[in-house]
Amino acid sequence: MGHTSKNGKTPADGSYRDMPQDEIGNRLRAMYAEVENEAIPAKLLDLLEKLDAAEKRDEK
Amino acid sequence: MSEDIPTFKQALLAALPSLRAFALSLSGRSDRADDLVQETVMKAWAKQESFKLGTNMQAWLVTILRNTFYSQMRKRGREVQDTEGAFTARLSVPPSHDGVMDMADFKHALSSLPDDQREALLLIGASGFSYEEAAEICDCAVGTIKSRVSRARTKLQELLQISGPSDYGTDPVSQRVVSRSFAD
Repeated sequence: MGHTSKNGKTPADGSYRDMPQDEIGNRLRAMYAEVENEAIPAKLLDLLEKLDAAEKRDEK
Repeated sequence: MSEDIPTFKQALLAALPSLRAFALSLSGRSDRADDLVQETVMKAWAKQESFKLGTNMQAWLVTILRNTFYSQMRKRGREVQDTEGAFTARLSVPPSHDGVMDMADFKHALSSLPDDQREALLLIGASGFSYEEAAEICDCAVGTIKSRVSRARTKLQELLQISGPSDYGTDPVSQRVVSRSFAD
């Protein structure tokens, strides 16, 4: 397992309260899970590091 | 790790997997989705002071991303999706393999929905927001979200030839698959 979402909202904790547990709901969640289980692209992580570094530079 | 309260960067990082999933599902294209997420991250970073600590980071990011998406769409002009007719025709035969629809078919059907309906369905059914949160994200009434979700579901059921929880597919096998998903 790579990154997991830690924003306090996981499928097991009673979210999706407004979507029935039917085939469409299941498919939507499966579709999301495919992407969520992927590693975050390096390009995106680099961007975050650059933004962070730039901010720290500016603070000095 | 060193402190209990996550930094803005850590919170952003934690929200990225779900944000990417939303971007990809909304835009239907991985190149577009990557651009959207990057732009969202830059915008979020630039206005991080406006993020209220303790509120929902995911909802805040999704709001930025969807606004970015729609302004890009307006700028670039709507790309013509001429596949819907062919797609509907292709789906007019019941799904083959034991009535279990293919994920590719599902994604294709999803992409044929109007943007506002697809978005509402994703926010409620995949991102896991409440109707109230989704209404705030989309800057519309709760009733509007409910009706968009409902129309999206009806359209998908038509396209994919499923009638809902109790009547999915045309054979006992798919019936069993469905019942299983309801078991606790």
